[in-house]
Amino acid sequence: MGTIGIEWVKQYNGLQGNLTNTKPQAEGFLNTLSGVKVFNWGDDLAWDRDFEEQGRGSPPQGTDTIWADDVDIVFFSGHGSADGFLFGRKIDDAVARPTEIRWGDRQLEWIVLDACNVLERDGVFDRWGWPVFAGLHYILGFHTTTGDEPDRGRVFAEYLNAGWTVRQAWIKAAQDTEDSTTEWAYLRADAPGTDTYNDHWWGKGFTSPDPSNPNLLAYGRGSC
Amino acid sequence: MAVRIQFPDLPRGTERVAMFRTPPPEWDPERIRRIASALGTTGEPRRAGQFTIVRGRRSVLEIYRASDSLRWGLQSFDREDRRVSDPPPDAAEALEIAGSFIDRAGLADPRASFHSLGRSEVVQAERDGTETARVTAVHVNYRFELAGLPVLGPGAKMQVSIDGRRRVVEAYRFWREPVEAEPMAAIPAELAAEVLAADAMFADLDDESARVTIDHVELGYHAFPPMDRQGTLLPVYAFSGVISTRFLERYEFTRRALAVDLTPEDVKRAGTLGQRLEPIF
Repeated sequence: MGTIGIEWVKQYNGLQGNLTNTKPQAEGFLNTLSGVKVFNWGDDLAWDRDFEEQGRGSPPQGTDTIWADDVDIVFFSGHGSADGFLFGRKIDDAVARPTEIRWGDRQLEWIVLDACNVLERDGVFDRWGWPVFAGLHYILGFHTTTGDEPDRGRVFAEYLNAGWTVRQAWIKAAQDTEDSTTEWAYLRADAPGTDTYNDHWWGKGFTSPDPSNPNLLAYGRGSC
Repeated sequence: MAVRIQFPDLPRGTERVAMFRTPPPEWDPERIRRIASALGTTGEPRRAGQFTIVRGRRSVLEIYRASDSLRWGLQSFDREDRRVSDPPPDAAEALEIAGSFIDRAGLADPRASFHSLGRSEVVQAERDGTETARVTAVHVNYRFELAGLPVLGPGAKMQVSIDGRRRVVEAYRFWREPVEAEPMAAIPAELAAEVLAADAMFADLDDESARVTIDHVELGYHAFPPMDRQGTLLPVYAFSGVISTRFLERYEFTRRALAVDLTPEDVKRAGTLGQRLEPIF
């Protein structure tokens, strides 16, 4: 059975506007997806270093081997930009940047970054692609801004539980919860012998072996 | 001191707003079979969680039992177009194909009008730096209007997606059939703006650290996502703007303020699963 972690930020303590629905959105995912709940960190206990690799980037203090890369799927809900996703407390510097990240070399298969613009199309392979994918199957997010809404985590989990592929489940959940000016996006990796295009959540169908040394990245986006 | 919010000219002149109840949908087997037949999907309807699904050999129809919404798609559609075919049609042809599809499927609605075109794009990158980009579908997007006001939100829209072979590969119609009710007095936009300014979103911001600008305000109805019941379409002022700070230069947001004063009974009727009905949401 797959393992699940979530992190969410409502209170940005003056760094940016506070958000309203990140907690119910992420917890809706955690409480709906069929699997083992491992961690649920929010607000002052949600830290950028939980997603970062030890010794990588600046600052170098990362603990992803304990948190993000120690589960199969993570759902993050909060502010974001093309250059990273953002936290409300400066334990590190409050930004999880791709230069500090390397995912999938331990356990993580899929990560949802429910935050604005993280998967913006321009430069996405150099930002979030080759440096980050080390066994990771997918990053799921948005090419555009996205709404502060409470339902998408639950809806995404329902589609995963129903046996849709990870890719289809994310697109459907985004269509169900955004208007058509928002664009969903995903970034996935493949290597010889892998087929992440057809990935399902654990126990719901085919799940690809890890693309530990990917030779192909595929980016998709479209109107919600 | 709280951050000052810059507002544009606010909508004026609306004293009463038409109200619409949205009763539970009636998805009887005959209605489902009729729609499935019009869409060319043959199979036995089967309940699957919140959906009723008709799975044919070529296509799948998903009925959202909580609303009058549906989604349809070809099983053979390869969203990454790995067999590589021709590019999708241009705008004029896409509108024509979408219009014909909507008519044939019985989805045409005088309350819906063309809103925008979107597209699905796939980009593949290889280690040697080669990148290949393809547009795999064009999306024709429609929006709804009632009593001269737009119906906003994810629960009121229609989309037809067309691939390079000129096939309609996916379509959805998210909607709740409205029944007109007694109109209500509208809250003035100025009052709604005051309620917005007091929202928790801005609570920790000040003029030294942040700039908040509202670019656009419109009066409309809000439709929640299609998978949940909603008893009343909510009249709202939708405030769209930007918050800028040194930490994050640009955060674009839309916040909605109720445009009518609802009784507790109205609130219970209008709320949906997972959506606490606050004055600002």
